[in-house]
Amino acid sequence: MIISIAIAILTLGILGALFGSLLGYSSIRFKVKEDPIVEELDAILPQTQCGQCGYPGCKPYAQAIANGEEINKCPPGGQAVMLQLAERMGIEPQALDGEEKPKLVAFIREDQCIGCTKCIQACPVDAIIGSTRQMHTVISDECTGCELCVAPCPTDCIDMNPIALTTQNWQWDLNRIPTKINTEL
Amino acid sequence: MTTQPINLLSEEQLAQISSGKQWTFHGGVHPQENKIQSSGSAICDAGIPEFLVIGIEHKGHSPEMLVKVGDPVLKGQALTKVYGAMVVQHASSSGIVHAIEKRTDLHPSGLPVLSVVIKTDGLDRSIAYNKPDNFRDAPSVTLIETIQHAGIVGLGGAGFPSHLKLSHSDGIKLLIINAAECEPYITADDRLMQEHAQEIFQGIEVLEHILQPKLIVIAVEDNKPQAVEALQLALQKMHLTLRAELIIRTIPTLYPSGSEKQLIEIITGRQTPLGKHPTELGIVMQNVGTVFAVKEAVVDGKPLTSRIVTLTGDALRKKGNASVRIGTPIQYLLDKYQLNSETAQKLIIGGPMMGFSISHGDIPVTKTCNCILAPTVQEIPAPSAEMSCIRCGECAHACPASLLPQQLLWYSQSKDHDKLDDYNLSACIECGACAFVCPSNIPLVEYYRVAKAEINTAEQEAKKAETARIRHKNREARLEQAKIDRQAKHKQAAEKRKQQLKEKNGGEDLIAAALARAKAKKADSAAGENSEQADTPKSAAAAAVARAKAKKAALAEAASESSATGTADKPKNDAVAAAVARAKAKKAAQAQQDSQSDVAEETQLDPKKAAVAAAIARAKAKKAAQAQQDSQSDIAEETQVDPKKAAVAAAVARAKAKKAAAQQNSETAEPEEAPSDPKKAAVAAAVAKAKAKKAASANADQPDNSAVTAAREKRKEQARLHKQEKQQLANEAVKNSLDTALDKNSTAAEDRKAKIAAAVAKAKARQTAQKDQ
Amino acid sequence: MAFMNSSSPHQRQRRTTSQIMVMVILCLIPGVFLQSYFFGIGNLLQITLASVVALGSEALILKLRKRPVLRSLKDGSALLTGLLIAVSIPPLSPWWIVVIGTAFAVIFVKQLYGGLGQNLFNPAMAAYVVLLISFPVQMTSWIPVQSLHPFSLTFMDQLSAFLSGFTLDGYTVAQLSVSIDGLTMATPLDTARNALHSGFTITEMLNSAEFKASSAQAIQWVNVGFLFGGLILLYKRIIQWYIPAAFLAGLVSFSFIAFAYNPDLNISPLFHIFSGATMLGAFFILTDPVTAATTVKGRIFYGLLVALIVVIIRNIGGYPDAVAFAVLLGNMCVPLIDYYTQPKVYGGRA
Repeated sequence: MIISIAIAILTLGILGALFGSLLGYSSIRFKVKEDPIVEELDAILPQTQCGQCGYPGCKPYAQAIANGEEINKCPPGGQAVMLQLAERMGIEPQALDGEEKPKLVAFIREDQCIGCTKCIQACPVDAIIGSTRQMHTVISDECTGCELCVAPCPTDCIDMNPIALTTQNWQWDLNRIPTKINTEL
Repeated sequence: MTTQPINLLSEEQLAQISSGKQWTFHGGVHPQENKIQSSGSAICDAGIPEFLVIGIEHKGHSPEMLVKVGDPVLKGQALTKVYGAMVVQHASSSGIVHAIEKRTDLHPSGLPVLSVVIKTDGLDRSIAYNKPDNFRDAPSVTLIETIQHAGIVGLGGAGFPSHLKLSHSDGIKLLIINAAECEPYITADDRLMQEHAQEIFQGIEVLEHILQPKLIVIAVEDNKPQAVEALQLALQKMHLTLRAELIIRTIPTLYPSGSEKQLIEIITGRQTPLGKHPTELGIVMQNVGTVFAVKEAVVDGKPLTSRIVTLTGDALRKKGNASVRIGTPIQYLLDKYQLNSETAQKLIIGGPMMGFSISHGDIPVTKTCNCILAPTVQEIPAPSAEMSCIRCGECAHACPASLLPQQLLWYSQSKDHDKLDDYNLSACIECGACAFVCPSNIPLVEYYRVAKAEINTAEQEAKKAETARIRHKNREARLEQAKIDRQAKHKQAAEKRKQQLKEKNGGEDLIAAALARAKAKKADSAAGENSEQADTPKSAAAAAVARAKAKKAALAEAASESSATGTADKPKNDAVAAAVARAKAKKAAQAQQDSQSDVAEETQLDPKKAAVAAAIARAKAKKAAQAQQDSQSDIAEETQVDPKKAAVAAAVARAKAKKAAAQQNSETAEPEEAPSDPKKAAVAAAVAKAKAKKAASANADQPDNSAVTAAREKRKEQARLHKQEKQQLANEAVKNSLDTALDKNSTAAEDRKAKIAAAVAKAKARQTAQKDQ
Repeated sequence: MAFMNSSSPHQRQRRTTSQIMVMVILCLIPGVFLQSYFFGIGNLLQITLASVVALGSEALILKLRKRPVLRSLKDGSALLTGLLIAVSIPPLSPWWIVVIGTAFAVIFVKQLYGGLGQNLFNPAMAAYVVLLISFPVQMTSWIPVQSLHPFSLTFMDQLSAFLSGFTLDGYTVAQLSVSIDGLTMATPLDTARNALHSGFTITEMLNSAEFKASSAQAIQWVNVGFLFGGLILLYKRIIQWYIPAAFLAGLVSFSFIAFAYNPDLNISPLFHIFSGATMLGAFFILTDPVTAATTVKGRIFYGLLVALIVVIIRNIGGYPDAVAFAVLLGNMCVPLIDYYTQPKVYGGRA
């Protein structure tokens, strides 16, 4: 009787120790350095770095989402990004906080620029070039359309323009081809 | 590009090809050919239109221009410089550059691109073509450059720059000349071979010299017997000195045999690996029209200024092939070929299978335009209504790329980009065979094109986001580093100072001494209030309290407002209030400007003063507000009154200050020497604003050498002169308004004003706080 | 002037979905003709009613789904579904059988899945199975060939049986299926099954009075009729040869294996091919593009799979005919088959 109990205890004990050490080993062996979900969430976010979510960039917001922040605070990403976040986090989609706007790109009216460098300091992606008392300009390919440069400008010379439709980004919308005839010829 | 020898055609395969073996590709369709309409007549010159429009933009990039508006140009004169891999564009007739502007491009989108518009003189004078020396003596690099400078692109329809195809010349085994012309209606290559067979062989000689292939195959569909005959005749007549073997191969008529990859499979039996170029297999393919252009460029020194265009379709009363100058408006050709506008319903550029429709004729012919098709409704009826897919599988049967069009359709509609990639959408050559056979009239290719464009956009955006992410990261790192550097520098400087002091005091520790002295002092005096040192922290504390109060006031306002609206949350209200306040401030500033400009007009002063005055006014207002805050907080502390009252008082005070400022402005409107254009005025205003802000935070100005220094100095002086006066005014105002505030508070209008004032005050307070930090 | 914009290809092959459906319907004629020759014009009554119900229920559902009614009716798919049900059920089964079957096929099997092209199961066969399970008596009461009738059935007799279940003389259809010799009439597959269950061998069964009295020959002829129509479809390239060929080849080879194993207990390949709904299934039902596999390899596999199931059910299973069940089971496997039989893309990974 006692022997069989001892055997049972011993067996279970050995099993427990075995699996325990296996688990312990794998937790060290397969340790993930950084929470991968933050990276994944960051990859979903549009990287405008605009701060409209209330965080100083996309990565901090991704971190915040991982910690339970709402997923609807990214107007530049719009509905699509929100849905992707919902899917990744495995939660219900939420109504977007703020309205979705078409993608914009900053444009400096150069004749009104006084070269104050304020917008350069505001730009989160270094997409504005220029130096003190020199006219500034936006590298439109790098501009994320975050609008952070608009407010600091003392002469209000920065416009946010919608991205122009060109033959490169045309989406084969056959119903909206301009039919206007250029009669100037 | 690295060519993997494993994939190259082997000697046995080449031997098989030259022995006459042919292969076939999967699928394909047999559309009605309709080539007889245009193949009968010889190529004629289309003539010189009044204007030529030559697009120079390519994929959003514009090369550097060599001409400007008003310049005379000659035929063959280069309009642009070489830009990257782009070819040079040339004037296609003589005349004057009429405009350089955006004009509609020959593109399905109908969007404009930067173009050079030439008003022709009808003389068609050309530049002196310098006939180069024998090309056999030139290295292939020089010839490739010549081809780029001659502006040669693939004339089959895709428009890929030819020099790029030729520059991977290592290990090329097979040169295929594509003369299949599998699209219905088009006969441009057919006529070219019939009439210029000798030139084509000369062009082949040039290409052979560049590429050094082992075998050259000219592939012609068997519906062009005359062309084959002409080629064979020319071959007999000419004494070609080719090292490679040359074969003229007739292939069965099957659409799309003229597609590069499908033709390669017919000729060699091998498939180009997905996402790879035929050069991987040691194969280069050139269109027969391109070969002709290469001959003209390399042997005769003529750049590409015209191309052969098939004009056909029953809506044209005349049909045939024409040599058309690049840039000729299509309407000009339609007029010349007598378009019957009653029966014409659409204009197709290219063939009926892959061509695109354009909506009007004011679009120029480009280098890729091989056919202008104006069909009647009977010929090509309008697309009938799309029906449900019945999964009949005809499309998969017809697909030359062995894709599953149904699945692609399904995933295109659901925008599932991953699945589309799984089903190899990228391998689709958009030949239209699937849509051609579809019994349910589904425009399959259209769905694929949209999906491809979407995938492309998504990829671009992902790429851009990735760059933005990296740039943001780098910037953060840089700022962080700058901060650390600055701290280190400060520390270093402090150390240095310490060291210097130590040296100065003969190695004695000054701080220790000071500590000792302080101790002694403490012991000496009972009260710890030694005048100046204690004062500063105290005043700072007062300022902080004032700021806090102002904030509280604003918050209270916001709270009251939010309780009124019920739904909006606090920060939003705050923002609204701030916005309203800003708007008010702007309005006020404008009003001031107006009044000032009146004065200016009266006194015949230049507009600059107005801006300066505005700036002064703003600065004054700011100062006044700050003064108010200080006094306000003092009062508040003393009397424990409601922060609302304080805000109201501040508003009243500010208004008064403004008034005072306005008066001053009119008084101090002195003539100043300054540039008079509006831009400078804006600069001055902005500078003034900045200065005023600086002054408010009691920071010392940096010495400035610009033209506006004088003005600024003046303003500063004025500001100093009236500082006391204003402060007095403000203090008085606060005291006065404190009494009246309680009554006035009750009315809604006053309430709002107070809110605004509070918001302004808050903003100001924040600004100063930031500056302090 | 402004021209119209449209997407390439601008030229199209001029064969539409409706034309395909009409061709399929026309190719049913030989089989239908032979059917009414042998079994009376009952099937024509069934066809008429099925057509009306099919079009009516399709129109109703389209209206409820707010889809263009006329355009969808014109595609002819509902009509074809109705016809296939009508030729599959016994010619003198009462009118409500075909009404329930057709309405079920169009409404539940087709439209509720999203309409043409969206349904997972073959509507006609799903409806047939539902009817067979719900009304086994009516669905298995095949009257004998007219030449073996104890009574001669007039048109009015048949109409009456169709409408009320009784002939003008007051006989039920079940009574009618009792032949001159007092033996119950059944389809040849039924007879074979019953014989085998009673311990007879196939040879004995073939020589038995029951079998001789059954409509074996007639059904063979009807099958020939459908084969003829199917060959026209193939010739006209309305259907491709993969599925019929694979199905028939599969049927022959699988039944031959069983037959070779034990000829006394398994029916011969020839018997398989010309009985039941074999030919109708091979050319008109299995080839329904919506519910069949779409890749070439997939189609061959699909044909073989259905053939295997048919042989298994006919030889071992509890139901005499098996095409309907086999097709439904095959339909279920289609997505899987399609997924694993994708062709190798040009220049691509396998």
